Amino acid sequence: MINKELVVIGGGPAGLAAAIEAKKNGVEDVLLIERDSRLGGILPQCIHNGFGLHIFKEELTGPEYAHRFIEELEDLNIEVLLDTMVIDLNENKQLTAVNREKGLMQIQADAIILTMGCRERTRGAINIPGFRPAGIFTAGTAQRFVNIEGYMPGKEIVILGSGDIGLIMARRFTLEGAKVKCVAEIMPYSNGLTRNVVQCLEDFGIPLLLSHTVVYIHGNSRIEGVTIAQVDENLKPIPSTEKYYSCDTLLLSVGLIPENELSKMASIKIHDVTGGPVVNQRMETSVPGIFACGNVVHVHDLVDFVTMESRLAGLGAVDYLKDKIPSDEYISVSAGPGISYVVPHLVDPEKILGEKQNFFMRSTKPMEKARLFIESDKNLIRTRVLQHVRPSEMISIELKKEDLANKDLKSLRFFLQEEGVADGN
Amino acid sequence: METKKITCIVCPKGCQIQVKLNNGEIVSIEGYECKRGIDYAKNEVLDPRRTLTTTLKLSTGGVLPVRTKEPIPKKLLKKAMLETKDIIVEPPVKVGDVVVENIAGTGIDLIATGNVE
Repeated sequence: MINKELVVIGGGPAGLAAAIEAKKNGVEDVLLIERDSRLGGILPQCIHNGFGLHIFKEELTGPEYAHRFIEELEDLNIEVLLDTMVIDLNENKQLTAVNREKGLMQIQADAIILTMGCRERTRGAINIPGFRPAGIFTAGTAQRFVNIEGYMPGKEIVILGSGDIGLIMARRFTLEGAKVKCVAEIMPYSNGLTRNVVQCLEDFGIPLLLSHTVVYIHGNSRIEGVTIAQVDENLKPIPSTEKYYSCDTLLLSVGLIPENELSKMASIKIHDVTGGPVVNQRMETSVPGIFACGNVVHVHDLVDFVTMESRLAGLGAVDYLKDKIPSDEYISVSAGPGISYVVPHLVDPEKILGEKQNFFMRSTKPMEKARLFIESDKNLIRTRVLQHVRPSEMISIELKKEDLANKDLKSLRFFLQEEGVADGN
Repeated sequence: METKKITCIVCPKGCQIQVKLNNGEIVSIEGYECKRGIDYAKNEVLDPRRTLTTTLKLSTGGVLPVRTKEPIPKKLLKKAMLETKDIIVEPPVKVGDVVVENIAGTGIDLIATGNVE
C-alpha cells in the first residue's frame, strides 16, 4: 500500500486547478492520476477560442488554457501518473489504480478529490429508431478525430442536438470543407451558448431547426440519411412534417453525464438531478475527506466556473488535512420553482471559506427577464434581476458571509420568477 | 434609417444590441451592458472579424492546433483555411510560436496554441 496525503483523480481542468490550489496552500504530497496520455482533459481538443474570460481576462483556446495550468503544475513539482486508470475506490479512501509500467497499485490517501468529468450521451441514451450503420458519432468523438488525430469523419453532416460541442463542430466541419446540412434540436430553444449559435451557425448560414428531431436513421453499412420531423409541445414527432436529409455522418450533441462509477463504489451520495455527488460549501461529498469538483459534480458550460469551483475543493482538502474543521452543521440548499438544481447542496452557514459563498444553478426554461429570490426559513435574503436566462447558461450568485452567519438559519431556497416584458422594444 | 440587431458574443451574456445606421454611418448603439459591446457592435456592422482556429499537419504525424493572433475579417476565413491546407509544420513548436505569417494577406499571423516536442 502506497500512502499519499492527497490524490486527485482526473487531470482535466478541474483536477489541475484543484491539485495546484492544494499544493500552493501547503499540501506537500499531492498525486494526480490521469487515464489519458496527456493532461488537460477535453481542453486539448477544444481548439476554438473563448476560454478564460473570467479568470485570465482574455480569450484563450482550449489548449492554451490547459497549457497555463499544466505549466504551473510542473513548476510546483506535482507528481503525475499518466495512462493510469483508477479502477476501485472505497469510503476508507483506499484506491486501486493500474498502468502498463507499474501494474496494479494500491494507494491509501488521507484526502481525495474526484475530478473525473463527464461523458457524452450516445444514441443508446436517446433511442433513435432505424438501422445501426457506421457514421454516427458523438460530437466530442468527432472533435477528437478532427482536432487531435487529424481525420475528417465525413463530408455531409447532420447534427442532432444543439449542445455547445455540436455547434462548435458545425463550424469546424464547414471550415474544413464539409457540408453541414442542419442542426436539429428537439427543444424549442438552443441548448448551447448564444455566442455559439451566432458564431458557429448564423455566420455560416447553417439552419437551426428548433422543435425538430431525428426519427429514423437510413443506411446499412454506412449511414445514408436521416428523417427529421417537427415535434409537438409534448416532444412527440408530427408525422406530416417528416423530411429526408441525405448525409454520410450524424453527430450527436445531446447532453453530458457526470462520470461517477468511482463515486458510487465509495458509497458517495449522488444527487438525483445533477447525477453527481451531493457536496457541501467546500465541495466535500457525503464521505468526509473525499471532495469533488467540475463536471463530475454537475455539467458546466464555462471552464472558468470549473476552475473556480475546483480551487474551492483544493482549499477544502487543505483544511481537511490540517484537521481544522470540526463537525459541520449543515442546512439544506434547495431549488424552488424555475430552478433545476443548486450547487452546493448543503452549507454550514458558520463555516464559509473566505468572505463569500458562491452558488451555481440552472433555470428550468428560458426567460427574457426574471427575478431570482434567495430566501431562508427566516427571511428573504436577496433578490436579483437577471436578463436572458437560459437553461444552457449557468447562473452564478455570491452570498456574503454576513448574509449567512450568526442567523440560526435552518434552510436556504433559490427560486426564479419570470417578469413581464417590461419595455415595449 | 436602418437598424441592425446584433447578438454580442464578446462574453457568454449575449447582449442584444441594436445599431441604427443612416447611409452606412452609425447613428446610435443601444442594448449593450459593457463597453466591449460597443466596440463589438461597431465592428460587426462595419468590419466583422473572427479569430480563426484550426489545425496544421505535423511532419511527425497528428496535427498542431493554431489560431490567428488577432481576429481577421470574416469574409477571409475561407481563404485563410485554403492557404493552410498544405502547410506541414516541423516540430518542435511552442505555444505562441508564429507558424504562418500574414495569413490571407491580413497582416495577421497564425500562431501555435499547443506544444509539440
